[in-house]
Order: sequence, then C-alpha cells, then structure tokens
Amino acid sequence: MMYLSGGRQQKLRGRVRRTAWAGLLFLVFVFVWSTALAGGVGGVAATAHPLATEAANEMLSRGGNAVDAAVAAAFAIGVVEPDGSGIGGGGGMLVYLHDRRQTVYINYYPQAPQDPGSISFSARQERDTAKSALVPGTVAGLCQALRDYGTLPLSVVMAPAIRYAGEGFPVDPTLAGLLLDNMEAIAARPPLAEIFMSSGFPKMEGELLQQPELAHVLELVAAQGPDGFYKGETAARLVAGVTEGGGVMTLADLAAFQPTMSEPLRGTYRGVEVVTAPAPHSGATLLESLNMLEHVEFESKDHFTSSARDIHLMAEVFRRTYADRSQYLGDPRFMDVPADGLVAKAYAAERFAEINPYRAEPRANKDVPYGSPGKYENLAPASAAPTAAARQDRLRWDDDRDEDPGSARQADDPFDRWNRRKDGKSEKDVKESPAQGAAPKRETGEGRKIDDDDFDGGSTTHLSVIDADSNMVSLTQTLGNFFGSKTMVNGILLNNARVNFSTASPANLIGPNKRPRSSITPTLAFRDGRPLMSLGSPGAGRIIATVAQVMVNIIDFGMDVEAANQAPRFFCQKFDEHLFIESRVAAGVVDELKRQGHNVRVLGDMDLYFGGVQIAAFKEDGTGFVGSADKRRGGSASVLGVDILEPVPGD
Amino acid sequence: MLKKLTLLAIVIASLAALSASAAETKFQQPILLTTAGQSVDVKLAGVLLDRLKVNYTSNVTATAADLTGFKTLMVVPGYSSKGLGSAGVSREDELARVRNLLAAAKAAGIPVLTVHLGGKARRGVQSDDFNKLVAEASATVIIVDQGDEDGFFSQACAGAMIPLKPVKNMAEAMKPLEEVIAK
Repeated sequence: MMYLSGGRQQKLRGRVRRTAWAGLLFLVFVFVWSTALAGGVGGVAATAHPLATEAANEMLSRGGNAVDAAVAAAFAIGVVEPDGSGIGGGGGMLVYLHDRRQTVYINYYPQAPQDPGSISFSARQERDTAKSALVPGTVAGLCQALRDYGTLPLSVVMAPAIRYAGEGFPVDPTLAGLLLDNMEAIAARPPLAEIFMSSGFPKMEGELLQQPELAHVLELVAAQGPDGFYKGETAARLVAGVTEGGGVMTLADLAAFQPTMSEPLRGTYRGVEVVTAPAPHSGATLLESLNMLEHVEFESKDHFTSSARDIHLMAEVFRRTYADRSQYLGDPRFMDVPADGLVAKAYAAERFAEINPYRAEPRANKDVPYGSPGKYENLAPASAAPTAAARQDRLRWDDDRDEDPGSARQADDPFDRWNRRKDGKSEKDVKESPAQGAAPKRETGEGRKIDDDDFDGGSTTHLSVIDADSNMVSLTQTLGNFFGSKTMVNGILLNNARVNFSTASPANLIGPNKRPRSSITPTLAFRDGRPLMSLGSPGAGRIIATVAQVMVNIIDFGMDVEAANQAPRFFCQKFDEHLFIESRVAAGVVDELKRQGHNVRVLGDMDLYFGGVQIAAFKEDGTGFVGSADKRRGGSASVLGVDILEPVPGD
Repeated sequence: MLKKLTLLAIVIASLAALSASAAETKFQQPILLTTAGQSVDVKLAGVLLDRLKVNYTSNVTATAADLTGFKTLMVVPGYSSKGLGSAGVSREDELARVRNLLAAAKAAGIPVLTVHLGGKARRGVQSDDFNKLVAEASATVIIVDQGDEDGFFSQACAGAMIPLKPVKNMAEAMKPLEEVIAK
C-alpha cells in the first residue's frame, strides 16, 4: 500500500475530479454528436425497398462510404425486389467522389454475346424466353465500383443480400401485386413457380420468400469476386440454361464481360449543374429535354399540372426529345453519337422554336420528326445521320419496344404498329357488326389496343445514396421487363435486354459485344459547385420524362424533395399513342389538353406506370440530408437509420 | 330457472343460425365469371372453379347481353392499369361496364357472387371504387382476409346484411366456394 502526504492527496483528489469532469464532458459530447448523427448528418439512402435501404445504412454505420452503401443496396435490392433487377441483369452507376471532385459513369448493362446472329429472334414473340437474355453485367459492375471506389470488403457488402436470399423476407405489397399481375408467366415456369408461388397461387403480402439457390451464387461471388459468377460452376450453369432455352451465351462471353467506365454527360438547367448518364443510356435526352424546358415560362405558380398550357409545352418537348433519342442514341463504342449536339443549348432553342404553343402539332405523336443535332458539333453527320431508307422506316421503330417489322408483325395481323386496325374500322365497329365474323380471333372479350409493355409500370429499379463526406451515387439497374426473360437458371432470373436492340434504327442495331440503348438515366445535380442531389427512376421509357419533371418541381417550383417526388405526373412521347396522366390532375386541365389535340388517357392517382423516383439530397441550409422514396412504388428513404418515409404501396 | 334460460338461449341461437343459413344464397350453375377492374385475379378465380369442376365461362369484358343463359354472375374485383391497357379500356369505361352489368344481373334476378382474392394488392383508391360497387351488389362475398384488415368489406357487407366469408389465402377460398355453389 502506498501512503501519500496530505498535500499530495489533495492534489490527487483534484486531478481525479478534473478527470471525472473531463470524462463526463466527453460522454456528453459523444451523446450529442451521435444524436446529431442519427438526426441526419451521416448519410442518406433511398431505395425501392426498406431492406435494401437497411443494407445501405448498415454499410454507412460501419463507416463505409456511399459506394459501399450503394453496392450493398444494389445486391440487396436484386434479392428483395427480384422482379426489377438482380445479378442476372445490369445497369448504370454514377459515382461522385467529393474529395477528388470527380464523377465517373460505370455502364454494366447487359451486353450482346460475341455471336448474337447465330439465332433468330423476335422481340415481340420471344421476349419471355432465354433467347432474349444478354450477358449479365450486375456482378462485374458492382464489384468494379467497390474495388475502385469502395472501402469495405466484398463479403461485408454482400452479407445483407446473402442473408435476405437465404433466410427469406416477407413479400411486400408491390411485389405481391406484381406476382399477381405476372401470375400466368410465373405459373408456366416451374423454377419461378417454386420460388414465387404457394399451393399453386402467387405468394401474397407477408408470406416468406426464400431463394436458396440465389443465396448460394451470392456466396460464391462474395468469396471469389466476379469469378464466382463469370467462371466456374455458375457460368457453366448459365450457359447450359440459356442454350437449353434456345438462347446464345458462351463461357467466353461471360468471361469477357467488362463494365465500361466513362465520363458522364454534363449540362445545366436554370443554373443548376446536371451530371448524367452518357449513351447508350439516356442522359443526353434528359439534358436535351431540360435545355428545351428552359424556354418554358411556366404559367402555373404551384405546379405545372394545374395548367394545360404548361403540360402541353412539356409534352411537345418530350415528343421531340424522345424522337431524337430513338434516332441518335446507341453504343458509342460502335458508332458516333452526336451527344454534344443533342445537349447543345442552341440545338434546344432550334427544337423549341418548332413547337406550336396552342396545339399538338403534328397531331399524332408518331409524326413528330427528329431533329438534326449534327450541325451543333464537330461530327461527321454521315455516321449517325439516318439513311434515306431509315428515314422511310423511322415511324416504324420503337426504342424500348423495338420490333422487327418483317417478322414480329405478321402480314395477316389486322393491327398496325400503333395497334390501330389496318382496315380503318374501330374496335366497336368490329365487335358490333355480325358481318365481321372474320375479325381477329381472340379470347372472349380481350382486346389488344395497347401493348402490355406500355403498362409494365416500374420495371427496373433506382437507388440514391449520399454519405457524410458528400460522396454521391445514383444507380439504376434492371432485368429489362418485370422478371426479365422469365428464365431462371440456378436461382438467377435472367434479363431480356435483347429486346432493347432495334431491328430498324441504325443507331441501335445488335452487334457482337454491343450494349443496347436503355432509358436508364441516373443523375446527379450540383448548385454553385456544391453537391445538391442524387436521383433517378425506373419505369422503362417514362424514366427520362419522370426525372425531368421531378427536377422541374424542385428547381422551378421550389418544392422540397418529398413534395416534388409525390406531385402528379404525365407522360407523352413519339412512340406512344396517348398522353398519359395521373388522375389527380383536374378534369378541366385534361379537357383542355384534349382540346389542344392531345390523345389523353387518365391513369391511377399515384400510378406505378410513372416510375418510382428515389432521391437523396442535401438540405437547403446544408445542415444535413433529406431523402424521398416514391409512393408509387413501395420504398424507403432513410437518413442514417432514421426512417423519414414509411413505405406506402402504389395501387 | 337457469336450465330454462339456457334452453331458451340455445333455441334462440339455433333459430338465428337457421335463419342466417336460410338467407345465404346457393349459387346455381352455369356461372358467368368476370372481372371488375381488369386485374388478372379473375384467372386465379378460374383456377379455383376448375379445381371444383364448376361449369363456368370467363368473359373479362362481359356486358348485360352476355348474361343470357347464366344463373350466377361471379365477379372478381381489383384494379390493374396493365389489365385495363390490355383490354383497351379506361377506368371510367370499366366502371360503367361493371355498373351496367350489375344492374342487368339484378333486373334478371341473377345473384352476384364476389370473390376478392388479391388481398392488399387489390385495395387502395383505384381498386376500392370497384370493390365497393361490386360488394354492395352481391349476395355473398368471399375474401382473402388481408383485403379486409381495415374492415372495408365488413362495413360494406354489414349495411346490406350480405354474408362475408373471409379466408386466409387464395387456395383456401376453394372451401367457401364449394359450400355456396350448388352442385
């Protein structure tokens, strides 16, 4: 035992008191700091499923960056939202690294095999078969992003996805609805039925969905990296499954897959810098749309959907930019894309000047011509300009629903490309006239005025993440249509991205190792050089118009991200017969649009058709983050573990 | 005294049960099966009827004229924008078709059997207009219970004394169907 003198004892007591106070102060500081952190200073993730958001948060909480969080969420969303994306598909990822002030785009969209011409393929008739599958890119893309820009090990980042696949998760309302809608296709395919049905009926909300085979593949990837997918056991099974289904994919095709790293496209909208996905993805069309929208002086004070004039002008913009998209966007590794011209402000001014402010002109969407952006950049126009034959054909192709006019539409088909009767009669005429006994035979009462794919609401998925260091990720990935090719091999649902190639549009013809054009448009925005937000959407062709509308809501109408996300939407483009609009828009506005010549069709009040935007953003005052998940699609935005938006299913 | 009261209670309960069962409609075959809202759920109902070997015809755009020759109208409500698109009709068109069909069935004395299979996926603003319209015109409603968690169907049926038969899942809907459809 050590004895101290009285003075030393007093000094020691003083030192202990000071240490205790310092410790107490430190604890108070830690408490306050951690409370602030939970309140939104650490990061934000918005995805289409709460479990994927949770996966992102798990990485942020471990000290991971936005890339770690996004990759974790991307693997997880492919499990818990198996209809929209997964390791059998692909996508695009926009990464912003704040300390380097660097932005990079990773294109990991599915790619054509080396010998795609070895099989015949009809996009219309064989989209739900293995023939429509291209070489998947998800695993390669996510692994590369993590390797180059992440901080956590792959096994850690993939752990949530493996857990969800192996242990299962309860079916959420959106998936339950999609299982119902796709019930026939699922029931007809035993590997899908085994996963998605119980007792011969689609699984319902709340039922446990397990994917043990998928969990095994994910474990292989976690242990071996991309080789766990592109080589060995998994690759062999994929090749066998695709070949058995009549498709084409070889071991060499899988081994050769590499994501493409490129500079993103840049532009501005009313002073806000917009950074987005380059071709063959659709950022150019977003920027062209925004450039044209800069010429619109919105009449409405609260929101553009309260003014028919505002909607009309926006619709006219989209009709033109979608025409340009179809004409000019393709894989830049194989062709010259006039991207600089398409996003040039002067080109937008020229295109906007074509618009009649009072009525839809030309009346039919399909008659809207594409423009000539080539003169706004130093590009030999021959490479991307349409040939005379292509100009002739230009009204016959589509983008996300490309078809071969020669084979997909049979000569005896009574409907034309626009699903109108070739004989000029209306459906009503045919139904009511007994003389029309030779009318197209179909199941009782079932018409076919609109392709199913027009209503394949939110196929694809989007997620947005920002971390505490202001790094941002905007990621959109897909299987093509809902449940992709409806072909499951080894627990992996394969994409049907081959339908995204065209057989008529020169810019988007299939070729060896080529990637098709896609609507995906992951986007980032900056104000005065500071990061502002990350956003994007699923929704096939609607993606671009939807992202543009949300940006207009925020930038023109000053809405906060939540209000901007949930505000009413519409959609109109060259390749649809209608102007689709949500039913929340006033009847008077709809009537006025009809008077202006638009062929309006009113859909649901919060319709999945219009996408599912996920936004991660900085608060206006810079004190933290906000996020928003689209109520049209079950999802959740979470500011580092604090849910700020409960998932609300779309109808 | 207690014995007498117990006996009386049993008699009253039995009579009540008897009258309730007497009020329940036995649905005769053949059945016209249709949708209200164009969701694919109508095909699931068809699977159930197939399993029960019921004589039925499915017509997803059935109108009053199609009722001829049928003794029961079975309606599966649930909104689907994809289904409406495939059928080439708007939501308003579909509501009008269903409204007219129900009115014609009533005029012809054809009882309506509603089977709501989609659970929460077929609830919400878009579906509920169809759900309410059909439920209130029904002689019996069979429902997968998660579609009535908020009491929407219970309320709609209670007002008009319509028997409501909840089941746990789609497959279980076969049992009440077997009970209410006459052989």
